[in-house]
Amino acid sequence: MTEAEEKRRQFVKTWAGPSGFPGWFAVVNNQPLGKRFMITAFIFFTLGGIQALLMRVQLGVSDNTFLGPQVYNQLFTMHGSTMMYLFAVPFLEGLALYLIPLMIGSRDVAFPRLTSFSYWTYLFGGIIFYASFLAGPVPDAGWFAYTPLSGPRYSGQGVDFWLLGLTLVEIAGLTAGVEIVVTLLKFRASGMALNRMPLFAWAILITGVMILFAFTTLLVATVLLELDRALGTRIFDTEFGGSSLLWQHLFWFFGHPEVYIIFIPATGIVSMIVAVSARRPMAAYILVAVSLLLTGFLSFGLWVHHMYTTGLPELSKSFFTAASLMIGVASGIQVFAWISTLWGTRPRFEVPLLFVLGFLFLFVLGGITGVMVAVVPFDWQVHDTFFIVAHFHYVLIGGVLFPIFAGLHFWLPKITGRMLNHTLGLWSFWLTFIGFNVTFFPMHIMGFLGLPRRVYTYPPELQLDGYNLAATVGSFILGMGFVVFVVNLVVSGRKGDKAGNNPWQADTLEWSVESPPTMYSFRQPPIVHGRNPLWSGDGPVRQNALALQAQAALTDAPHNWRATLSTDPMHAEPQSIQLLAGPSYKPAFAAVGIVAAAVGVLLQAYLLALMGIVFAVGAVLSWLWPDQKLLNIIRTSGLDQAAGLPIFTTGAKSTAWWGMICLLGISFMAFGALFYSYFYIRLFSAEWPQGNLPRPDLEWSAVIYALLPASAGAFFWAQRSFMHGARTAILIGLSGSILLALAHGILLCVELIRLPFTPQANAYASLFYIINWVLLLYVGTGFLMLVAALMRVRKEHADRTGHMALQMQVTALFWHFTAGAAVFVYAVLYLSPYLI
Amino acid sequence: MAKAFPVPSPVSRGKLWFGFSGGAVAWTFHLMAAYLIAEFGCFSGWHTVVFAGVTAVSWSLLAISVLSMAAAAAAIWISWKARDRLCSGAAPAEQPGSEIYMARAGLFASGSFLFVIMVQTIPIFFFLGDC
Repeated sequence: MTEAEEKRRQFVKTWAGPSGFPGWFAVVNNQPLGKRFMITAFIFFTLGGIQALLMRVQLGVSDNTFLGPQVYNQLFTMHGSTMMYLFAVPFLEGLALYLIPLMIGSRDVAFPRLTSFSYWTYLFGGIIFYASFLAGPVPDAGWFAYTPLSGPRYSGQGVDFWLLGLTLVEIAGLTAGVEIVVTLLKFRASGMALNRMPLFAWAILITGVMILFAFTTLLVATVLLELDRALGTRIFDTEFGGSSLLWQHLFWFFGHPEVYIIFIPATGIVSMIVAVSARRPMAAYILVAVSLLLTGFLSFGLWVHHMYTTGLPELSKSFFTAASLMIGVASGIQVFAWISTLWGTRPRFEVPLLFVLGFLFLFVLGGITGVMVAVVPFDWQVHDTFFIVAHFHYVLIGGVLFPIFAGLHFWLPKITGRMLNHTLGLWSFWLTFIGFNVTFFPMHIMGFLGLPRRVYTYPPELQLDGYNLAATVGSFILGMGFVVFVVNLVVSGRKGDKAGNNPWQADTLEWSVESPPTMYSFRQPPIVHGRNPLWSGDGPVRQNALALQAQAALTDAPHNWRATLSTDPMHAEPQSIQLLAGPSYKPAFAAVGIVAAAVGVLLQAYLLALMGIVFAVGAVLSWLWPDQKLLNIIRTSGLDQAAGLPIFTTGAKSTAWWGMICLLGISFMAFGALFYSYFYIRLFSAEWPQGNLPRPDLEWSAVIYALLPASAGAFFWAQRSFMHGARTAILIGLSGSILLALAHGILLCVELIRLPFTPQANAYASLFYIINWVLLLYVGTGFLMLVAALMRVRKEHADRTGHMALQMQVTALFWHFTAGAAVFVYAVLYLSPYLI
Repeated sequence: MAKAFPVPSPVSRGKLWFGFSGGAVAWTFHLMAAYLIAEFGCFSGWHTVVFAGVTAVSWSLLAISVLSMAAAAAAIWISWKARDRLCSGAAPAEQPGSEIYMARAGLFASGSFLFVIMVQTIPIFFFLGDC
């Protein structure tokens, strides 16, 4: 065996996942984890579908007793929650995690171990959701869990299963969001500038950013509600100054963007399939990308249109009506772009395109009813009727599930290496399309005729049996469409025709590698010269010497550690070689720790919850701790010289820096949601602080809170000293920063213990404590980061431009943010009661 | 070591980003401020204070609308000028594609957000003095 062959063999071995059953828990590669996300999501989808069929059987005839009201409530809760939280978002995240690195020419995602952690957290969250069926109390408050129905007074432990399971799924969603955003910004192939990104990649990038903001709000809301339930806080308890409407605001600030979080990737899928089917580039590329951006952005300004009947001022509602109507314009741009792309061509009428055409028809119908319900007087008439059920199923099944099926028929040949059977595909499409319309179209009429949703039966006098029976029959036809798809998947997966690299003659990079792709995806990093890299005629080619040098150096290399090319976010010019983490059990252990904490809260075994958190933190610290042996191998590899690029980078060149920026974005949103809750409760309270509680002490608390900016200042000095190599000054600065942080933490805890009220006193008291607790959580995390930095800097202070410098920089970002947050917390909790 | 692209751009990153995101930021500010003014104004009694036949709530809303529209219009102007500067002179192969893309996208995006702000301003004229 020659040296080159030996290196190639080692390269393949380095990228191969660990073998055997135990190795299954250590895999961190994007491809197997992406597939696991998709398969797990489809299992949950099947469960949600069965629940839907059971509900349709119940509603098939009037006065039916097949299901009782309690079971019906549980089924519609679990059906909606499953489809929204356990299927749609995780499935699309899985598809993105699998496809995006292939599509942009990367060997993996930015933080492979985070992907593993995300998957396990998602799986355990889903299991907690469904464990409620075994434990007894199944969630029954709807997928929206409105308070006070979901509060401690009117619901049982089922809602705790719902909240804790959902919290885990949210953490999984957020981590996957960070993964997607950083991967798309940093790992695009040389030359794949922003204006050359595939539209699916654009859609996923926008979705990733939306996830960071939307899921954080839901995370805050679910934690607040669980605190109301488990610790007796009063945030949503109107009797103690709380607000049940606040839950709706927080929930829908997540809930409306959530619809677009699943719709935008779906439109990305459609854009890819339309262009390939028409065999020409997508029309109005810039307009479509901008419309994705517009849709994503505007979706955060529409949440109130779910609350038109809650008694908000007329003027408020009118703003949200206007914004709701405008989002139709953004979606309309895409619809016209798809039609324009297909116009005048002779497209290939394969199954993916059929599903796309089905999507176009159904989504336009769902969009039109969406514009109707954006208008306040119309919404008042049909609110909480089956018209709304019809509308959102047209949007969600027509607008999301059809593109998902289209995407699966399109990309499964790449994933499995075999083509799906065309005839079975046709059967699957027509059964799904006909079944869907027979099920959901009559619901528009039933809604107009006054049939309320979420009610387990209806009297025969309403004369709706015919429509309902048709809907029930349709739902089974729809279900058969799904069964045929699964049969097709199984049969074709074993005996289907070999797909080859590019069965559709498509244009994007994933079609340039073998089917199924190897674990490393690309032997050498690709270079892109146009928007449609596999199609000719992309315009002038500009050779980039640095990209060519990096490409040559990274061919089958490095052979004993995982790495990919990292580029700049805007121009996709080569910036560095990025080390990627290898297999590890630690992410799975961290997820186990978090699930133990959730189960501890569920069982009110708080010692178990505490142990779970400690275990999870330990696993994360161990996972993040740098492997000195590996770092030495990298330092002596000479790859940086060969590629002309650094391996250890800092600032915006580093993925860790971008990861921290995403975390700070999430943190910004979390504090924002808490401050919003505080001022919302304040706005509607006649007295403040509520219940004649004393206003907080200004002077002593000012001293406590000033300690954090002082600590941040000391760290700033330490960081500057680090850059100048002044060892003593670094140690003094870091030690000072740690001591000041510790002093703040201890004094704040003492201050909270000395308060003359408890968190259970009223909503003001609850928020006062909770916001301080969240700050303490950040201080604790920052404290650990500072201590870790001190421990490393004592050994490696000379490494001013390498890995250590990055750690100092990331710690600085987090710690300065925490100090800034402390200033805001002080202003909100301590100063504002004296001012407003 | 080989030299990397890109060549220095004739338009600063700050201007490009302002053009790209200015409209979106203006719209966010407008919606949030309008929502807060309407909620707080109606709750606190601002709507009973009248100047020149128009309530304090509506005056405030009009003021933030004008401000937001001006900001979005400024973003459009910056994007327009940036696109002109980037596209002039150099041959297509030498033009900075990403920057031109951002300028064009900024033009469309900020234009669309200006339109949305204008549409959101219309109700103020219909609900004058009304909560």
